[in-house]
Amino acid sequence: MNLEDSALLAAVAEGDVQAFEKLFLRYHQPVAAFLFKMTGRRGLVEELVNDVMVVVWQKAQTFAGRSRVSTWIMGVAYRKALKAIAKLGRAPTMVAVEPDLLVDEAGPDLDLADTERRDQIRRTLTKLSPEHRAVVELTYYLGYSYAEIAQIVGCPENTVKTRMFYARRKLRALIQPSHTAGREEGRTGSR
Amino acid sequence: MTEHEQFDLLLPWRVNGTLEIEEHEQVRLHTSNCVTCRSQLRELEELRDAVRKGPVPSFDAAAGFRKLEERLAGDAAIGPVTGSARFRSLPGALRWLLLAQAAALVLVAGLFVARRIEQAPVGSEPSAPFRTLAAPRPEILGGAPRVRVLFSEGITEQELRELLHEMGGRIVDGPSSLGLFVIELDAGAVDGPSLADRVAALRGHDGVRFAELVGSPSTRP
Repeated sequence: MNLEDSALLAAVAEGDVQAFEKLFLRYHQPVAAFLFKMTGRRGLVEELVNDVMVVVWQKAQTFAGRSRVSTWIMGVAYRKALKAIAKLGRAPTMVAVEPDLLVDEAGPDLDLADTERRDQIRRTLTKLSPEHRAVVELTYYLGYSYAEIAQIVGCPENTVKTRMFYARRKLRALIQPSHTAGREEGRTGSR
Repeated sequence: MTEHEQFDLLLPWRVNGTLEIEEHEQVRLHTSNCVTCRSQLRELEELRDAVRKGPVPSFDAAAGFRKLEERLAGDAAIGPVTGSARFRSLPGALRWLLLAQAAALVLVAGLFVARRIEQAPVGSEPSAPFRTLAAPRPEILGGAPRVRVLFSEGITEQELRELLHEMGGRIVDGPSSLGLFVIELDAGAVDGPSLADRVAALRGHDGVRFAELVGSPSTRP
């Protein structure tokens, strides 16, 4: 049965373990991937996912329905990620991932230059602040709108837009200039 | 902020396709006339592809849930938000005030009961115990043994019916927040020393993950 997220969460609020399991399985991979991309620590992810889902289990009754369930859960994951990063005491780094565990997202037709270019961008992403990186990952890995990201990270929509703007600016500054075709036009925006 | 700057801020979400229709159309029109924005779009598409196609480990969701189940079962403090949890989350002063109020009510009730006892005629027969209409029948309260059971996830309704029939029991409560059911055993069928054996047999059943007599120390199969 493919229950809507909100129906599942309502059942979880009543202590329904089966509904909780369904919700857990539905959100495990996106939450885990987001936490991995934020922290760069594979070994930390399972525990963090469980921390997130414990909050979902405990606080399901407090979900007011003002946002989608997915943004609510991602909001919990975002806060857990920030806490974990603060505890680690440094920004996430690019970590080696066992090749057999990779989700094969890159096609065989990618040429070497494209692959290197993407690697370079991904390495540069790790140099962003967690708040800026989160906006990039939520936009392009999880496909959220800026309005949804504002709900997830708990800030105004304009702040989301400016965080993305600063993230782009930093990426452009750090990535080889030959690839930056467009030049920024005297922006004076603030965070 | 210029119009160009306003549109530039929206470009990232044009690339991921989540702009509202009106915004999308405005950005599309602006971009068609703006070389800088078209260049930005190409950069953003590159960023999108790098993020989307980046390596992500695969995680075992089923194993993750089993670990979480163990964690929830091992820590009784972890449960859906309940009245007691909300009480614990209240500010300290308010908690003490509520506790004091409760204590006062208990004291008043105690004084009332004591006064009634003093007024009762000496040597009179004890009256029948007070019982509300909703209270369980005395024969259920007093006699039939109850077992707390956690069934396996894969148990079918038919298997559950057969199991209940075999053990001479019926579900009287549950599932709890942890999925536990309370089963009342038919007193006639389980009289005498066979009760422990019946519970042991229950624990050995494939469809049962946990079983304990209500009131007995918790023991896992």
